[in-house]
Amino acid sequence: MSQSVIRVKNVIKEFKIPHERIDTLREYFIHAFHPKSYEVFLALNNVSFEVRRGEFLSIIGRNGSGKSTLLKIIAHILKPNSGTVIVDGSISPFLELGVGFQAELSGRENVFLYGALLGFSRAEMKRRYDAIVSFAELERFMDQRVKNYSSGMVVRLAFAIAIQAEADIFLVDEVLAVGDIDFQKKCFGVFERLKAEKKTIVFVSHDLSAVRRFSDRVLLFDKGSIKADGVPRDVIALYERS
Amino acid sequence: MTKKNNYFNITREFAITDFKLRYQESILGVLWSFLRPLVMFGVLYMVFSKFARFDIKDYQFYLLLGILLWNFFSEATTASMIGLSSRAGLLKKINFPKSIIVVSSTLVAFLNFILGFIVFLSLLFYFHGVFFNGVIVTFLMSFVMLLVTLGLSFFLAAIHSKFKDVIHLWEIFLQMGFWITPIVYSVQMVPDRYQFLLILNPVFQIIEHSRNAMLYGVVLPMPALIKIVGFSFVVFLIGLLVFRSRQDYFAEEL
Repeated sequence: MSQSVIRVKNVIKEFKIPHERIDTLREYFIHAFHPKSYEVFLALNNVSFEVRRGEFLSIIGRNGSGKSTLLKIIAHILKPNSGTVIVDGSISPFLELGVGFQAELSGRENVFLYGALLGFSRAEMKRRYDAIVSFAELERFMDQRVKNYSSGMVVRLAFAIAIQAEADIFLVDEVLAVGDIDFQKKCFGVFERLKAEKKTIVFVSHDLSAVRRFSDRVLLFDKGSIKADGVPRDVIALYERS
Repeated sequence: MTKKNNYFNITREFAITDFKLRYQESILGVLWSFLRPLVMFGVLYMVFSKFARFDIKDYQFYLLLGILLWNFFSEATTASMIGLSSRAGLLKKINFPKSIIVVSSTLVAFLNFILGFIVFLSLLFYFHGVFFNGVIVTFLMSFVMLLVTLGLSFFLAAIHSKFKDVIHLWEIFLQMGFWITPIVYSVQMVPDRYQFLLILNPVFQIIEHSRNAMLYGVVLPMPALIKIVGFSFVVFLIGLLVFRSRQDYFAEEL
């Protein structure tokens, strides 16, 4: 019997979009005497669903429909205004690739920095170092600074490090958007491996063919709520019609 | 891997990164961390021992120790605020203990202080002689200073996340603080009716106790020690609590 490892219940997330952003004390005091002027943007409107252990769940939907916000809430980066998220198991904490990188440092130095954020000690990273470099195909560039890398190189290196994480749940946000066909093939290889290892994956992507190929189940988001939840073929068809 | 280990690992990586980034591509590298307080020391020493003459015993050591401790305090608090806002991108994408940013920034400044202190100690040993008790008291005071500074850094970084004015206010405050605190001059020069300002100033207490012990062999009495250690714990705890109550909003505010 498969049990739920992620339980999202009645999650509401609002963002206040000030007409002017109140960033300084002066503005704060000025605004204290005026009615606050901001719009409330409802990023997630009462979202509930569960993810079972070993499931490959994809989330699709237009830009701004709340997909990435949801991932950030599951990863405990953002706090929902109301509702609960219960996660059973360790989460690989990367969402977008390469954000932890320091552009001024070399690729080698960044491997250790990023590794620490993923929960690895220096010694463990040393053991995995060669595997990371060869997966990323950056043997010749490791002593170069990351600021001189192409965007494809950054993503390759970040992905190579990120897949080292020994988590139960992987949250993957748009990794396929950057990178060439070879890189995509590598990503697919990793997805296959994670699936074979019965890891739980929540995958946000606009690449519908990848979604169709790997997903057990697909959620379609529209304006902050779940519009459809079902097998890939039906949900994707609905999305393409809308 | 345990959580504690992981906290330690990230702290170390952040500290190494800060250190490398700061001195990368500069020819003198880490020497800069000595040069800044040293130049400040040189100018102030010149002015207050040659131009306006202060009659303070062993003034050069008196001044240098004060500057080193104050520099740590001012560097750490500013670096913590900058550290938090410069890692905004990371905070928005990865979930990790946010206090690490403040802890690592403060530790880098503390490491700088320790290096400077070793230089100070060698000079003192060579030219003046070292009281054993003085070293013990100063070590203790350094950790009291670390605790106070961490507490303030937590507090400042947390409110700086919301109000970007805080760092500018703090810089002015530091500049005033340096002159209001008896660092270049002595506590005896402060008129009685202004002395109350000093009782409320933990940084002054720490500097004064260190100097008294280090240079003149006067060790602070036990009740005073307990009071200042207790006080530093309170500052630390308040700072940490404020930080913890605000940290969930950093990803949105920064």
